Amino acid sequence: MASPVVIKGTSEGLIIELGQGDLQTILRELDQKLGQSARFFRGGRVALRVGSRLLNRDEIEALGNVLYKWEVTLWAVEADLPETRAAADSLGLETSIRPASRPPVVSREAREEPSEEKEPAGGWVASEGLLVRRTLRSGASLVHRGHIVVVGDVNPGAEVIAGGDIVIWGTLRGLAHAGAGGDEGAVICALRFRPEQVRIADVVATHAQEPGVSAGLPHMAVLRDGHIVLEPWVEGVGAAGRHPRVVSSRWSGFWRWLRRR
Amino acid sequence: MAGRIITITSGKGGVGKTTTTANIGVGLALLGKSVVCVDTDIGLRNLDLVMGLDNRIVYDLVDVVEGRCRLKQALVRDRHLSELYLLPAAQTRDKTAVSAAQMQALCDELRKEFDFILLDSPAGIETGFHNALAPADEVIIVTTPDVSAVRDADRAIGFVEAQEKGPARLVINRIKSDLVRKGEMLTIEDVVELLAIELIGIVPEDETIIMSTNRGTPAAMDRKSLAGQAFRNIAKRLTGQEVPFMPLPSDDGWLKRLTRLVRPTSS
Repeated sequence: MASPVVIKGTSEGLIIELGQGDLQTILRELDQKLGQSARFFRGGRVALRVGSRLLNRDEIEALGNVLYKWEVTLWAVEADLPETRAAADSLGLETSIRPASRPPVVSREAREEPSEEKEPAGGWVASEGLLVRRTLRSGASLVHRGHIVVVGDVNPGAEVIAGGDIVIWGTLRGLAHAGAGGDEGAVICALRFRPEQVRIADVVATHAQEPGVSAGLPHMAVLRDGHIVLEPWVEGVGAAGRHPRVVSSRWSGFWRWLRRR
Repeated sequence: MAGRIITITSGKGGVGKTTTTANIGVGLALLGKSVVCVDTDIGLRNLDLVMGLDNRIVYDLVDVVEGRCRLKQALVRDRHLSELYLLPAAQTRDKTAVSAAQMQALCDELRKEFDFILLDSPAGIETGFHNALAPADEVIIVTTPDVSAVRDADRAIGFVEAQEKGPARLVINRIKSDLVRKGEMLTIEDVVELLAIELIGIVPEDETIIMSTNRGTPAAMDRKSLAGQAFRNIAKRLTGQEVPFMPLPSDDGWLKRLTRLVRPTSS
């Protein structure tokens, strides 16, 4: 079996590539490899290349801790998945081994404005977005400094924490915290709203069962006068009440049908 | 011949992994398949009891891994079915006695001899769980219809997906139809909607399970046991047969059922 940990020296410095296998094995292997030539690595800087592996903050920290044990500093994590990149970013790590040129795949992350200056680690900036296309199961933790869009469900025991807004194209059953950096204008939207808890900025709300909510209609949670209120998203009106209402939608269907004759 | 390695796991303990393993093993053996059930719960050996083979164990999984015996010596043949075997766990050791790579090597050996290798996983999401998952071709998640078991099952599925172990399939165990009807228990639809994986079995709560466990004869051997029937159906689905899910039993007495027949609107 090929080793799941490959250490390479390149023009960009030392790169550690992680292969297949569970993380515990990789941590052990990494520890062993570093230990074999501890003197060579001591005081060095390495970048991790993780491919399509999904890593959360804790897992990246665990890798960083093994490196730290051998006095090696982790400075970058290069990953295919935007979620893994976001986790690395939230730890203040670079997400590209060549800092000058970002990989083109980043274009999937919507940006409202091109921000040249990056906020330091831990800073919350509601100007970047992270799109995640999978269901977050129990134990999953998604933390991002900007907005988060989940195409899928957020199950009980999973948490989504964003510096900006949270949009769930699915059912929210876990925990959602929007405006985690203190942005009181942040909102949480979900197609079906059955969370364990929602938080906006510093305000916490446990979910009360309301008839309209349990019926599974799309809702938006906003902060109003220091309280989190849940507003149903009405078709054609929206929670903000700005969109023009479609007049006589029943008849428009009839006219369309007539025109096709 | 290359056998299929199926890991049976749950996250939460006490939802019926071991019972499910033993009964699916019996079900597959009744279909004429050669099956080995492997107890990977090292230190907390149970599968031997459920299969009624506890007094026949000479060697165990750790003995095989550490080279104290050959694999064939450690396999215990079932009392009733000649094509069903057990590879017992060690009772005196713990999870660190075996590594994931050793489990993989062991299963690759078993794959040459058997059609199905069923791995009974320990509860939890620690080393033992990962060791049982490592060699899996397929995964069966067992849950009961209560919120804590479902949440743990969800976590376990998360690990299965992260390790790209193919789509996990779901067994919902110990459904109490009267509680479901009263709205006191999660329904099958609730569980399937949340976990979002393919359903392969619904097993009703059945007291024959307790009796059969204590007797050491899996309920799937019992033609009259409802749960046994459900487990045999799971075995059939694993071999690719299309078997419709059986209707949940009514727990009402015969008198109540009779009154419902006479006055259909009364309930």
